[in-house]
Amino acid sequence: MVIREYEGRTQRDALKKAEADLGVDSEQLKIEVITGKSKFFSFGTLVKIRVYLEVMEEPVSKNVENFLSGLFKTIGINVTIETYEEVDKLYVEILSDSAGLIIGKRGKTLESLQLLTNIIVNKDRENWKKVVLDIENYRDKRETSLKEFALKVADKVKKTGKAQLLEPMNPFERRIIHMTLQNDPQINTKSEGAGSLKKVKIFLRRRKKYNK
Amino acid sequence: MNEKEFLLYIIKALVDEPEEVEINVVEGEKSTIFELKVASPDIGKVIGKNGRIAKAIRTILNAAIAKSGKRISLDILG
Repeated sequence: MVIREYEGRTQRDALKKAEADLGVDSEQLKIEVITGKSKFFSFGTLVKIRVYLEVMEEPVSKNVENFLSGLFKTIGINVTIETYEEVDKLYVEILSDSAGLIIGKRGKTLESLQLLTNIIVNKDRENWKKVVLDIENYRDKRETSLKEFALKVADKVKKTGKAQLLEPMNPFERRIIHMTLQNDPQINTKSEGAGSLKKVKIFLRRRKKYNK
Repeated sequence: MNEKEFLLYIIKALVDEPEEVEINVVEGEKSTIFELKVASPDIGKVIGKNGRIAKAIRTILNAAIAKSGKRISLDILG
């Protein structure tokens, strides 16, 4: 919301100044007259008005599309961008011949691009909108392969009895590992380390828990 | 150079004073060094908490330059 005050010899005069200054039509403004309301022929006194303008924010989807297509254009990569909006999230699907490059090793490039996109498109917004980037269904595939991986490691832990420490993962990836194994009565999982990249430890549940 | 444009595009979108952004590229045999200068109130915006943003920029800059087989180094000058 933008609130400004303008003065003019008449109310119409002041309003014209407001229109020119804000670059909008007076129909978009809510107007309140502050002084000089009912004084006819009051020479020399100015009419002061206060105007309220509801600023329409550009939709996030448009911002994201503009940012990403402009970015890839600089290095000559063709992309098509599709968006799907929810209340507090915006899902963005990138279609490109260079999907592998954009995803990067274990999704690192895609994660970085997502972080930067979130910061940039939310910079001047009042309400933070989480942007989730995906490319060629990478996230679904990654989720499936992480689930398979978790089950495989859990099997190994059961056979050998030795705990396994996985490579560092981001919170979303760790969540998938924990969720996949949470209903296994023989297996326990725990995140270890500091920062956003932690390692998940997969180990046997201690037997005494069953004896209780 | 395209990678310079690529980096410039990201940095200008991140900062509040895009006209103050300067990038100097030093080409080496195996690596390319990008020296980045921004207005001092914007330094935090390109580094981020614990260097999160700077790290993300390095990651995608590496991807953008991958075709050439070179390594990159991004120096943020205060």
